[in-house]
Amino acid sequence: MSATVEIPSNADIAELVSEIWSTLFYEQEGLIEVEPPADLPELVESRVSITGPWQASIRLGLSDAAAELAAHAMLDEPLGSLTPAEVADAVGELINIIGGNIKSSLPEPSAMSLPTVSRQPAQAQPVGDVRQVALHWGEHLVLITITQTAKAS
Amino acid sequence: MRMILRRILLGVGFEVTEAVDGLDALARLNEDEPPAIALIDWNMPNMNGLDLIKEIRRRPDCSRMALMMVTTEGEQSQIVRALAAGAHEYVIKPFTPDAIRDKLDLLGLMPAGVSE
Repeated sequence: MSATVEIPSNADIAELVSEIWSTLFYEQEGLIEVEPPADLPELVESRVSITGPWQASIRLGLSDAAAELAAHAMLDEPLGSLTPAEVADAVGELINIIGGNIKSSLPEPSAMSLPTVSRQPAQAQPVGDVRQVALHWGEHLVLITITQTAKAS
Repeated sequence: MRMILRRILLGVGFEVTEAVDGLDALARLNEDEPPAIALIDWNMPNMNGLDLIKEIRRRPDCSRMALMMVTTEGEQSQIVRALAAGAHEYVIKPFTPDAIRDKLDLLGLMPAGVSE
């Protein structure tokens, strides 16, 4: 991804997240980009905010099953053995890595918040200055949403 | 990420103590003998990893402690800042377990008998 204050393209986002996924989950299936669903299902969502010349929120949405699978793969633990807090930590770390890598391509000084994790109910597609990339991880949905809140003029 | 690093370190024979942020890490250093190595994230609440490295480097009792920054901060300027502050190694997330083991080996900290 080139240095820019523009919102990253869907292709850039998909490539970045796929690279991260293949490093962390090298024993699992890779990601395949798909059309975002018309209505978003209930998701476990982690989020970071970027501030600086380019300001945005970056969110990672995973189904419960995908969040558990990711956490178990990251921690190399058998399925069903982790607490919800441990799963949430892992999902938070994922957005920390995704956001940090996006931040690395931005002009300095840029800063990134600590990750937060929450459950998002089913909802309609977001509107506005938003990029959304949907990826399939096997049968699971991985959803990246970047909402630009401000950029340098 | 602490949980992942903990597993990697335990897997090569380290005893592991975790701290939730920089201030917690300093408090633990006041209570215990300095460890052989600290793996430090840049982005932490209360005291970030860069400030923690600077604080540790001010302490004579920690002069032999290796410091490895493990972070998403991949900008060259950030790497230089961390190394200038006293970090010995720098790992950018995401990483593989082998990447951490390689760094430990470079630092001469892989316990005897542990293969990479």
